[in-house]
Amino acid sequence: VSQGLAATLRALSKSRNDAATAVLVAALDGDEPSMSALAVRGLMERRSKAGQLAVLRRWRDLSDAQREACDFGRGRIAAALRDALVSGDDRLFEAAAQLALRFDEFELVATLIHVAENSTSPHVAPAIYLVQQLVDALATRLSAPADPHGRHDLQGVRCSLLESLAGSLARYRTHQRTELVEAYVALAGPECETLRKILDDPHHACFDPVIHALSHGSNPAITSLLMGMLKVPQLPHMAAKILERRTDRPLIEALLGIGLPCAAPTAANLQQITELAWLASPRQFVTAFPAAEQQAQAMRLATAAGLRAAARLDIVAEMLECAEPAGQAAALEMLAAIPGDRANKMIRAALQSNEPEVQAAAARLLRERPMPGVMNALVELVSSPHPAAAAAAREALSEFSMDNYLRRFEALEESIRTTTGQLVLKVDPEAIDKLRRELEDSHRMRRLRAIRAATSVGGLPLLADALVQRLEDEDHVVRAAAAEALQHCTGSDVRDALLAALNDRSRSVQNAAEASLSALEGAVWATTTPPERPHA
Amino acid sequence: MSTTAPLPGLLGQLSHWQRLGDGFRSSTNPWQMSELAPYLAGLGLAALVGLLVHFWRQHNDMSLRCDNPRKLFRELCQAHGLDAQQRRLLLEVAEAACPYQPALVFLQPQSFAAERLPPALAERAAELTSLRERLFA
Repeated sequence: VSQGLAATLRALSKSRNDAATAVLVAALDGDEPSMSALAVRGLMERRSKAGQLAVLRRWRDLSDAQREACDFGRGRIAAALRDALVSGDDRLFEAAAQLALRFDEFELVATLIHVAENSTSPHVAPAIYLVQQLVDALATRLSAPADPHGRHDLQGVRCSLLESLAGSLARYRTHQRTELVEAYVALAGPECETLRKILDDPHHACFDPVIHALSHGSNPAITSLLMGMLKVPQLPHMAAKILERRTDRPLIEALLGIGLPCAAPTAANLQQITELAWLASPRQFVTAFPAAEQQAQAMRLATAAGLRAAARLDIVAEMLECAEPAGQAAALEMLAAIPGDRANKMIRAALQSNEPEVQAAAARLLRERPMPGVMNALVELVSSPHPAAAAAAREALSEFSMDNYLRRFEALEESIRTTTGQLVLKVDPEAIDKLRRELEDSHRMRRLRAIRAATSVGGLPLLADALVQRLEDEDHVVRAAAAEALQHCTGSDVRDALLAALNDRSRSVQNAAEASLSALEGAVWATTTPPERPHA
Repeated sequence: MSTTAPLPGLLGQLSHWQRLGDGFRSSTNPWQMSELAPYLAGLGLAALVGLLVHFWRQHNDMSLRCDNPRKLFRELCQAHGLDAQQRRLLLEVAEAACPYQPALVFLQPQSFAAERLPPALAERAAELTSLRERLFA
């Protein structure tokens, strides 16, 4: 716009002379398209209802440029739009509807409700449609991050709209417009008292339409509302039922998005859900949601929900057949709280799975759930090349720890000491370290027990250095035991240490060292010159 | 000797008492209309001045709400800072192109086309070109 025209436009827009409106309308109807667009802008900037209505009347004939110029009316045209919507004129209504959506004129909902409830109005259906569109737009804006430069105080607008829609709910018996009820539901928050009152009162006039809206409403705001209700205390019973029955993908995805384990109110609310219709056929669910993480999350959700044991078992059985390994593993976790033979069979079968993740999940269950006939499978699993499976098996066999073994060592028979000890060495990755620490204990009995335990578990070769240190022990019984145990170890340092022990001040140590050296070196020992032995 | 006059005697002279204040009234001439003339003239003058101010404001105060095409024309001339000569010239163009809405000339560059101008303005082509450029360029 040139400087001169800008000055004209500014003067015409701000003039308190109503003739300016007439001038702009005349320019709008003129031959010069560029001036028409300018006139539209001027009329939009003027707060003259007559001028703005003149533009709306010509809306169908406006070019794209002229329609774009209407954007200057944002925030200034609400009164004209209101008049256009109630005018009964098709052209005006159409134009007002388009601009209302374009400018997010949420405040027009009150007017539109008035039109929608008026059975004699020719624009009932379009008014309802427009209410839905505006409510959807507002709900979308509310769910988006706050815009610091936004024109609207969105929460204030929401409250205002809810008030208008609540009035419409009160008149529901008269107008019977379920779409208006759905619009209310879409804007009502999870803690809305009116909505909760309706949900708790089957005799309320709006009970059926509200239930219908919550059960079948495709509006994302309704999904958000149901999810919101899950997160606040006291989930209404009907809302729980609706969450049980809905099988639409957006809701399932929203449910799968719940972070588990969840906060106390959500956990309590999930317990109210005793059925999940979308998991009635896990195979169909797996087909619809092939991603492993989604399947696993679904199983975690089913675990957190208050499903009956039989339903859980059915779900796990089918998931073990068709789900991804992560889904199967998560499904197995559901069995933790379900006793019985059927669950046990599933766990046994899972232990034999080809998937380490599934094996690990089954093994983890066995820690709290001792089951006959699974020990061998667990012991085998300890040697699994897959760290997760091996760790889970170790966890399940955590009873076989070196600490427990040492504690009960004296009470065990010799044969059991050996078999159990070998198992402990396999299961407890820290067994050797624990023995090493035990060898350094201040109590001589514990040091002696450690040497005997190391012998029983067959771990002496791994403790050669610690045993060599014990040859310097203050107690000659310990030194003798260490010297005796070293016959099972190899290495030049062991031999040197035993040779040194031949000079020990204790005869029993000397004998033990000599015996060990004999055992170790055999013929080699015979060729070496024995050192001079000190006399006891 | 009794000091009180008998009551019936006093009541009998009541008509005389009613005339007692007559002697205090002005003895000058009665009130004349001509005495008001200066005041009326002053009032008339004040009303005239008020009317003139009112009309002046109606004519020139652009902040007053109105529906006046010619005033709008003047308002736009003011907005563009046109001098009296330019205003007169523009008004002639406007009266030829859009007599009912002279301000429309500010949004109709085609009004300055030679074929639309009255013959009397043909000689002032240079001024018109300058004015057109000022308004639209």
